Amino acid sequence: MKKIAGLLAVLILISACQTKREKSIGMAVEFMNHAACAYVAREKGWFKKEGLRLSAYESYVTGMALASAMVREDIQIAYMCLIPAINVYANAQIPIKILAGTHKYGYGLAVNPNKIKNINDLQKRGLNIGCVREGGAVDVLLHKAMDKYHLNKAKVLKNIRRMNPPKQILAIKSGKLDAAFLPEQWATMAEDYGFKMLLTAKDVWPRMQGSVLVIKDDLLKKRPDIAKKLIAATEKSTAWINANPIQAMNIVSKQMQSTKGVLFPAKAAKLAGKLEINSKVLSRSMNRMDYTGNISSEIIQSTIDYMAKLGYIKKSFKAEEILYDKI
Amino acid sequence: MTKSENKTAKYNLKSSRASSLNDSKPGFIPIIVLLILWEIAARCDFVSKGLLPPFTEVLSQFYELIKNGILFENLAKSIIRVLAGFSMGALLGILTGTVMGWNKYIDKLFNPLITVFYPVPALGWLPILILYIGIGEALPIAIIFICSFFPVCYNTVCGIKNVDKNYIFAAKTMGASNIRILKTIVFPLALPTIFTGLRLEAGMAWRVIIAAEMVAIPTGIGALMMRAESLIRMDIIIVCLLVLSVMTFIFERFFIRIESVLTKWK
Repeated sequence: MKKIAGLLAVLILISACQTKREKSIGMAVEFMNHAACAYVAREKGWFKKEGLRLSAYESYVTGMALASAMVREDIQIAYMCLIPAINVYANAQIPIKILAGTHKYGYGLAVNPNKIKNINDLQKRGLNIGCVREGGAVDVLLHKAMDKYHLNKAKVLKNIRRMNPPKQILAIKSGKLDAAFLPEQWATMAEDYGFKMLLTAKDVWPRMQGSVLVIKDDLLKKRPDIAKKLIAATEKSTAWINANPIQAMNIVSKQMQSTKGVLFPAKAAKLAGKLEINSKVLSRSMNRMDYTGNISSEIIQSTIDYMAKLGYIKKSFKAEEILYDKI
Repeated sequence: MTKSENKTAKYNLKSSRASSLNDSKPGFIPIIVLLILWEIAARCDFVSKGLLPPFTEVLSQFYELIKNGILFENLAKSIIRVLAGFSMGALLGILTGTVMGWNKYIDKLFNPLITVFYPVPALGWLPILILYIGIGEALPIAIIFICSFFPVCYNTVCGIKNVDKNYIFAAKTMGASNIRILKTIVFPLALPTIFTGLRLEAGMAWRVIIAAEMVAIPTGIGALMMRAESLIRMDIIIVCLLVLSVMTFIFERFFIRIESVLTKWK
């Protein structure tokens, strides 16, 4: 009897260990070339090599959806833009830490050159300027641009039409937009429809942090080894992207469902499936970003302060609160 | 009937009306219990504060939104849209429904159209309307108009058709004109059915305007909710939902009150 009980205990223990080992960690990845380093690390098997079992969710529609997924622990790691990450921390009050950067810049203002010749033209009456909703990275860049070039905010904001990037591209295709503040790769795609890149993030906000790698505090406390492994995989990946830009582009394009040389980013949204991105556009777009894992607390702090100034977060806080202290 | 009997009958009528109104008043105890449970759940961190802020924090945000004028600015826009769309839709619905209910030839002409378009959800018209009239003030008003017109028209037709024909024959026998019969017999008797449609659609108009503002319009309570959603500000979203609930309640109550005044004979 004792032997049977012992055998059962061993079996239960083994199955419990097996379940624990098999449970993968949910990771959110933006469905854009901003997340190139996540795609490359996955393709090259660097996450697995570090002993990380991650299941990636490639499309999350809004910050709120991501925040709820983080609360439910469906997602515990995310490659996301810095500004929504600050929203998740400050507004949704979800304790997260930024482990590393993934790229700088990655946003731009594309305009119809027949209607808009210079930045001051954005104030003209009757224009339609596309931008994502308030609190998105591109929206914050729009405010930075208005500040930097001393534009009349009321006049510019009156022309703003809020819609997501794929919708903006469709609107550009059908001639409904005169300008669009977009994240990459959408900004470069707009050029393919006759638009001209009037400004990039580099012009408006020097050293602007693009995306970051974040982790939930709970997971970090439970498994502190994960941080080191994720940082290692991400840094290896960004270095590889810089050394092998064409292969990196091929990996990103593969993730966006490559068919006969034409890329269909159909996973992000059904709408995106209607759009085509060719590899030249993708390559040009990736060249507009600085892929680097380096992150400066100074630029994080200035982003937090600016968001507080805009009223997007209730009050400013110290960058150290959100930055992983062993970076 | 003697004077005292008359008084008793009047008293009974008043008290029965009062009790029927009291019966339909919401009970506040379950609401208070829910608010207390909500506050406890949020304060004790059963749920993330960011995703379910305590009720007191929602109240403080409500105060902030009133103080800085954001709530009134957006609410005023939504109210104007609902009032404009609903009044036009309801008036035209009552007018068309009355004519259709009264004249069988006009009914035969329009009934197939109403039957076809009535079941289409108001928001189903949104993509077509965006293309036809563009994104502007006219869009939400047009959506509310459609949302109100068909149900009010349908209810009015039903109300008019269901009036007991004996009353009409009796009035005709006594030499009353068609207009007089419509005005003094048919329309008043159809009022309860018409008001059922008005009451339901007054609430529905608010649900539809919020959805329209969330999808396509940059101002109004729905748009404020969308902005809050993109900033992950659950407190503002809850404030908007509470305001929406109160507005729907007020609009429905308004029609219940008007109905009770206009159908005293019941």
